[in-house]
Amino acid sequence: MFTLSRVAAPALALAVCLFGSAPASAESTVLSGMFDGSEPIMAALWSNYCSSSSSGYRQTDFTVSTNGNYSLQDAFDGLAYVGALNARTQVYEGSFDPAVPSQHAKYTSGDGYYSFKQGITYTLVVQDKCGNREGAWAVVLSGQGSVHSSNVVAVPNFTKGKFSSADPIMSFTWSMEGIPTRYKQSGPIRVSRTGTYYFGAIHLEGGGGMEVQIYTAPVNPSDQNANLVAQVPGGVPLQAGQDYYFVTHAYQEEEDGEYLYVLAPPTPLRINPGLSGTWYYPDTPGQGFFLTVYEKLNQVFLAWFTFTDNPAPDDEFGHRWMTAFGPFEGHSADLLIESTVGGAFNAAQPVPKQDVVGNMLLEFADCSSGQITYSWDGDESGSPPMSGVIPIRRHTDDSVALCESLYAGPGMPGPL
Amino acid sequence: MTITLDLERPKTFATSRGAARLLLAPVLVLICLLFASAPIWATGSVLSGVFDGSEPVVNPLLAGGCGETPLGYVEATFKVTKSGTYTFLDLLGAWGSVGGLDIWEFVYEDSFDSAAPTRNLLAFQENEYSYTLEAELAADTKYVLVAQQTCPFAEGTWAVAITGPGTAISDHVVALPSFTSGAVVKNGQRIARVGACYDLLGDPLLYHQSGPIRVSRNGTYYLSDASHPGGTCVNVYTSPIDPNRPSINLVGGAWGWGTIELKAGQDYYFVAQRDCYSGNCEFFYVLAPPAPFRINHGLADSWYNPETPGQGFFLDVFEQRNEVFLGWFTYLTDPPAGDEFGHLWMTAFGPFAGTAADLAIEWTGGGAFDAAQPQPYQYVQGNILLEFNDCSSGQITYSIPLDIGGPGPSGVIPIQRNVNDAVALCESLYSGPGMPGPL
Repeated sequence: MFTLSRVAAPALALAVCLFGSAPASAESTVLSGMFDGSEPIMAALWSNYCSSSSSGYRQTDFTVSTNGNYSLQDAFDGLAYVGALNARTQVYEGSFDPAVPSQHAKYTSGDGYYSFKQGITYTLVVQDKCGNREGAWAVVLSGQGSVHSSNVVAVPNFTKGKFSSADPIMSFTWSMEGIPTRYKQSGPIRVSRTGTYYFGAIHLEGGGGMEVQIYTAPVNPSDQNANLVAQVPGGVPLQAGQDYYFVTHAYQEEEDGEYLYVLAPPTPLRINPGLSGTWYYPDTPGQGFFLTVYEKLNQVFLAWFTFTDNPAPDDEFGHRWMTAFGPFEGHSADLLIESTVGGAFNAAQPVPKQDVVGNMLLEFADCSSGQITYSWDGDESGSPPMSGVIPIRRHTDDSVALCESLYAGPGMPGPL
Repeated sequence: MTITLDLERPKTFATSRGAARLLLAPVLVLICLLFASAPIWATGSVLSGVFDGSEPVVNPLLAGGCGETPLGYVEATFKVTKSGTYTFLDLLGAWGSVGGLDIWEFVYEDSFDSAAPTRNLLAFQENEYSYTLEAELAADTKYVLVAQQTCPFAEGTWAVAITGPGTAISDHVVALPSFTSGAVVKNGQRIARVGACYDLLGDPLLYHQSGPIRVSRNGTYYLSDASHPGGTCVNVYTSPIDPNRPSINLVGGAWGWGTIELKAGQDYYFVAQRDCYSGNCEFFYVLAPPAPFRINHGLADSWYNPETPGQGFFLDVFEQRNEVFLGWFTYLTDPPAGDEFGHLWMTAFGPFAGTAADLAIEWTGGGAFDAAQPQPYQYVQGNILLEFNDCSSGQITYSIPLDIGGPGPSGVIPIQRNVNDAVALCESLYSGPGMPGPL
């Protein structure tokens, strides 16, 4: 399912070659970050086929070590179909003012390169190309020098290199069948998490197309299908603890150019509206939690319906409920517990009184399970200080697929 | 002979008034003679329905889609009026990126057995990327069209156009506006290609205009070319087309597939265009309205009535099961002595359909804070009708036959979200085309 057919192989090579190309002997730097809903909003830098709506943007300053021409490429170009967020980018020389986005904008020359100079601080502005989604963005700057920025991510060494006459040669059966091409093999490589990893190809000047095969053992030139896990692009399922061998081969005979590809891990779980719903602990039936996720605000609102240990003599139900509210980041949320008392059923008066009485840490392991750690100091009614940890799971798994779809796609490139 | 052909042709050729029929008869004869060289006299029917999560499931009948998870399917029994070759076209599959539902199509003779899905199988689409299939069908024979979802979380409208020598008869057939099928006049006036029909190298096109047409709702409408063979393009205008200036008052259109924003109360003129070079001058397209609002997971949120602060509702929507679970956090009006909180909460559970849910209120009491014992008791008493107007507002009508010290055993509470953060998600979860039919 994840293998590249012979029919598709030329398409991949073509896609790789369609990328802009950077100067020879390029040094490539990957910049990456996350859109998590906390971004400021501005009008679309420009309209495209996908969206012309306002959306969040991130900006990062960078400098280069050497004067020269540099290319700027979206590392996730072509991966939107597997959930990747594609970047709409603009470079500025000097400050960036979202109210006047054309001011200080720097453009490429006719050959598609930016001319950057050492000692000047540039600003890269990144915006989601297709709306106001959340997820990782990643771009590659390639040129004669290195790029310095707080958003630079370290990528594995084996994902970049240069073919030379010292490399072994093999005729790969999937592309340009029968034509021997140079290849490099790296391994054993292990990934830290089981999941789908995402491949984005970057083309460098002097380099032709390339392909990557992933094996669970060193490639056997006489049996290329042996131990083959997948051919990329797109999403590739990899397992933690398994040894993999990445075989990169040129797409043209006696290719000696440079290559670079970006291998992004699965995006980590982050809290999203697919988690909104009812949660409970099976060992304490009859009580539980309702959760609401405000994804754009990065806030969570939770209601806890439970009981008092000491109901009043004529209290038929012994009900207690409380709410909790606070910000989330990634897969956890720090909430303040609020006690609201003194109201009347479906009535405006008396107005209830509300106090913060404790705090709660809400953590999710995945779209189906999590835990709540709570503590409070007691209250004026005489309730004693209490604390505890409650494992929670969904009332039903009806929305698990929605939750998983809302954070699917590549995460930030970096350590695997 | 001519009359017989007319009766089987698209509705544009059917006239309802005797005088008009007399006047048009020579024209129709002429038109039919001109069409004599056409290889196929195709008529079109559309079968449509909605996947709402209540469908039975079966393992994917085709490889691909979203994996191996069992997927919902619907069976539409049908017959055709004439024997021959029929083409089945998934009309809304191309709208996957804007909320349309892609389906896999299968045609069975007599019956479909989900335990033996190859039994009686007559025809199926070539692969997961195809939208069409062809089948040889006999008149007055029972067939079953099986439409299967391609992903487990995909709910929405499905629609299949069936074109061939006869029409399809089925409970799933939808009545289409008459202006969406007909034929352009082979020797008629041609107009320049503009808008959706633009083709730099193409010759001017023959056209057929219908209007004024009005739609009942503002929104995005979905145009799909259902003619066989294809090649119909449609431009939509806000006034009758000027053949010499066909770009004037043009608001949109489609060649193959396309969307168009239409407004209720506005007059529109639909201009179907073909080149007729293949000898086929017939057009047949489908105009699907925007899907109606329906309860979905984007409504799982906290809701309240601004008039009664400090109390409210939390809602969970089990979209695949078509059920809603609601928590109501409120107070006793007259709490017993010693109860400084006056808390009262209740839950309600039940099925939803469309924009409304009928819920039974569950009363739970007698438990202890974060403890397994004593085990709470639970009983059902009372009910709630939960209705939504849209993704931002609704109302709760409750009936509680218990003395909880409230203002009465029943009431109506308008509700709105605490925060409108998830409105966009809610709207995206029901967006896309609705069932073709009345506009």
